[in-house]
Amino acid sequence: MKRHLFPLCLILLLLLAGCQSREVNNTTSVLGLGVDWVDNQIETSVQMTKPVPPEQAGQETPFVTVSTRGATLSEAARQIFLSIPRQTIWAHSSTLFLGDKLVQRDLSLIMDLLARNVEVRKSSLVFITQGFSTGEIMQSQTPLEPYSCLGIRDLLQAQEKQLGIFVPVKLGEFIYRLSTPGIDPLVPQVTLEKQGNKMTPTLKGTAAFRGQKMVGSLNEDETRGYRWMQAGTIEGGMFIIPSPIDPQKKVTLELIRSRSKTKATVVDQKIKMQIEIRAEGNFYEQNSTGAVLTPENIKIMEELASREISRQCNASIAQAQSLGSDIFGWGRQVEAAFPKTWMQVASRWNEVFSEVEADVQVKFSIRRTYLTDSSFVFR
Amino acid sequence: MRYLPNKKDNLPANNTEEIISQPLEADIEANRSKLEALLEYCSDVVFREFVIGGQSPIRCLLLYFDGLVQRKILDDNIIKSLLLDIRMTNDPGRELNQADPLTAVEQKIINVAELKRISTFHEVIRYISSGDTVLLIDGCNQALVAGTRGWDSRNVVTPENELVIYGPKEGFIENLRSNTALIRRRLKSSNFKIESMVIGKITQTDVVLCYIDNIAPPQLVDEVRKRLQMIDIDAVLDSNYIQELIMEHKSTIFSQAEQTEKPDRAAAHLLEGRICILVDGSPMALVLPVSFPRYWISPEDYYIHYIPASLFRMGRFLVFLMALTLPALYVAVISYHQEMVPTALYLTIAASRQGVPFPSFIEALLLELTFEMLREAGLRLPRAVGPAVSIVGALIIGDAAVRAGLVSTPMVVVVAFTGIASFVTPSYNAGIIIRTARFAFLAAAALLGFLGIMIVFILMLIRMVSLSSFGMPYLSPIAPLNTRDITDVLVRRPWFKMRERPYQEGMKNQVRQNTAGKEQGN
Repeated sequence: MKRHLFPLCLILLLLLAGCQSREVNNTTSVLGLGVDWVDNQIETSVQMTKPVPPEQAGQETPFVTVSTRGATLSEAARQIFLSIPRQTIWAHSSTLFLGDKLVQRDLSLIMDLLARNVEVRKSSLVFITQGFSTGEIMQSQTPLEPYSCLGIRDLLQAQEKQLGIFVPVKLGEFIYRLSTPGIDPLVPQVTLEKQGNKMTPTLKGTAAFRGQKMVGSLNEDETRGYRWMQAGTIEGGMFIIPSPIDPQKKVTLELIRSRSKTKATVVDQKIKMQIEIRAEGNFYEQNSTGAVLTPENIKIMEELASREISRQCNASIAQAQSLGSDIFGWGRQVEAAFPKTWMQVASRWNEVFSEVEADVQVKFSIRRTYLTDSSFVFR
Repeated sequence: MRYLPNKKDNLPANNTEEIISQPLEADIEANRSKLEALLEYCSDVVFREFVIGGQSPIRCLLLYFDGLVQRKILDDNIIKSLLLDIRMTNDPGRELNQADPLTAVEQKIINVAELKRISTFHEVIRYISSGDTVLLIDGCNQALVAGTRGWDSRNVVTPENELVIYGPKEGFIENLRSNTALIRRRLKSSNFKIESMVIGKITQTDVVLCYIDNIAPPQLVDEVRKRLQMIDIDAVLDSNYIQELIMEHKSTIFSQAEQTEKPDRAAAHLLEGRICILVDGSPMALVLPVSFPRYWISPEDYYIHYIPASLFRMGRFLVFLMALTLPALYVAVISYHQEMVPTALYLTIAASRQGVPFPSFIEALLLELTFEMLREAGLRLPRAVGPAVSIVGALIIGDAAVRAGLVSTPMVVVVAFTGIASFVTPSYNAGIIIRTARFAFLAAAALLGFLGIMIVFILMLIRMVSLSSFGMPYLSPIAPLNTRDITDVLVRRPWFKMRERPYQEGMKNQVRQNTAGKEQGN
């Protein structure tokens, strides 16, 4: 009998398993969570899949978006279960929408739950709405992608490779930037634009934060400038410079890769940032004719491109400084290089930041074209 | 109504038992009556009595079972010799009378290759049951046995269960002698030993123990011989009887001997110092000791180039693992770990599971059982109805069940995949292990998700490392690790590198190629 006791215990142990099985049949998958501030209450919107068998696909939208309100985020979220007959699975929730009214008001209303709840995936991409409530954005439909939350997520990821404007921010990164001194969050914004007779989600601007709230937006140019100055390598995206042979015409260049280094210096108690960008691109298009790609012209184009890049960077710096939002993380750089100086300025960093001088050095080189041999010639 | 009293009823119950242990008598009449008593109601036995010698005839009795003997040998080489050829000699009969007639017949008259003397009723019965012919001569207390075995049996054909594309295609048959000949043809050495013994009180089955004397570990041969001799059973109809009776670990699904239908595979095992047991009437040879990694090694691996062979072998191993765990992984993902699959895949699965009334575990179980049912039925279906049933099976399982919303399409795909995958292993035994263990994995996945799968996997490994097959650890050469032999487990070692035989405790001769390395250098 004793021999069998141990295996028996093991088997009984299995039966005590605390995990509850959440079968697909009686659950629904959450794809996105939205939090907004409406009528002095927190409004949560949840986009859930409405699984339709494959043969009925396309006849109706495959998702349901439910918006509920409450005094706190958890109360609002709890209201959802009063109207949804299924258990929710948060494993595939990959987007988080924050309403602009809410983030302009106070992030502390929601951040505790978002940062600490186990169901909220820290890898979800964060978006700030612009001019619309999160519910409206999540109700809309993206072209091609049946689920709008996934559609907006893919929109952001696709533009990063092709255009290189907006930078995806994961919730984990957002939390890190909010909670770390010397760096502030920057989050892509999404709005609705009329296309045909439908409102479709579009990325527009980037929200900059300071302290517990959003303080303003960066436009596309300024966002690009931010992107150039990001540490590490970035790839992809296009930009336009005047043509070296005809100033009226334009030349489009495509970025292959770029790397930037930011270095803080302190001279006479004055903090100065030195930013060095090395970029490599290729010639993509000219909207004129003529042999642009001569060695001399390439030199000129490289110079023009460098100037364009530093213009974008400076625009970005100017906007960030006017908002007092250290989206570049310069405070972290100062802290690392000059801890003593940092101790003096840390408490009023946002004001100091606005005064910091920045010197942007860009070196751009054109290596190759990836195009057929010579420019197009008219007869 | 009472049955009429039987003649047998009148005899003492142990009469036949008594007779069979007695020696033959000199008087042919007495022998005949005793044999008739022994073989009462055996309608296929033939007593042929005749006299030989012209001047002073001697009574002879020829005894055989009809259907087991080659009539041509019997007619031409025994009866004709005794009745006719004897008279053509100068001195018919006299010689027979003078000398011991048995010796004269044995040495001068009967012209068959296999001829020996026996002296008990027990032997008479045994030999005639095996298809030999017994000749009793009046006045002699011994009898002659002529090898006339020859009955209808299958020809040597391609094995039906172990199919290969390259390599020999012969397979064992039910005839023991043909089987030993198939191996002997491959191992032309006096060191190839075939020890014979008889097991089974009623069946009197010939069982042979094959090994190569200067390779196989002697203590292994002794141990196997000892265990075979200890068997006390009334019947041995297949080699699996022997397998179950001599294995040290009996209560486990992990079979510790390999069954093969291919003489070339048996020969390859023998050359690696293993032992092969052949049983008369069974086309499956038993090879031992074997370790678990053997199960994904196909004999074909050694007949094709080693690079593709290695790739196939690795693929087989992967498929082996998938066949074991795929339904369990699917159930675990569906019920517990939804985050483990890409969102798009998850949404597709979720959509196809809408309206399915069962939890995924029940669904998997239903489909698995259905597959097992189809497989089992497919084995036994008469040829004529086979296609009909498989069409119904395919339609009902594949299509109608999904349309009716009873099961979901991904589950059908998963079960179909694992069903096919479980037949990828070259050994049918391994397929049985897979199909059994799969249910354990499935249940564990339904209870505890990945954790459960891991627990079952670890329990399975614990069980496997605790097993051994005739002293060979069941997971060798992986555990205990043998760095040399492990190169022939996941990949196939090229022949020019196989200079030594796989390690085995007590093996006498490890060297396979003495000069291979030197020749490679030239």
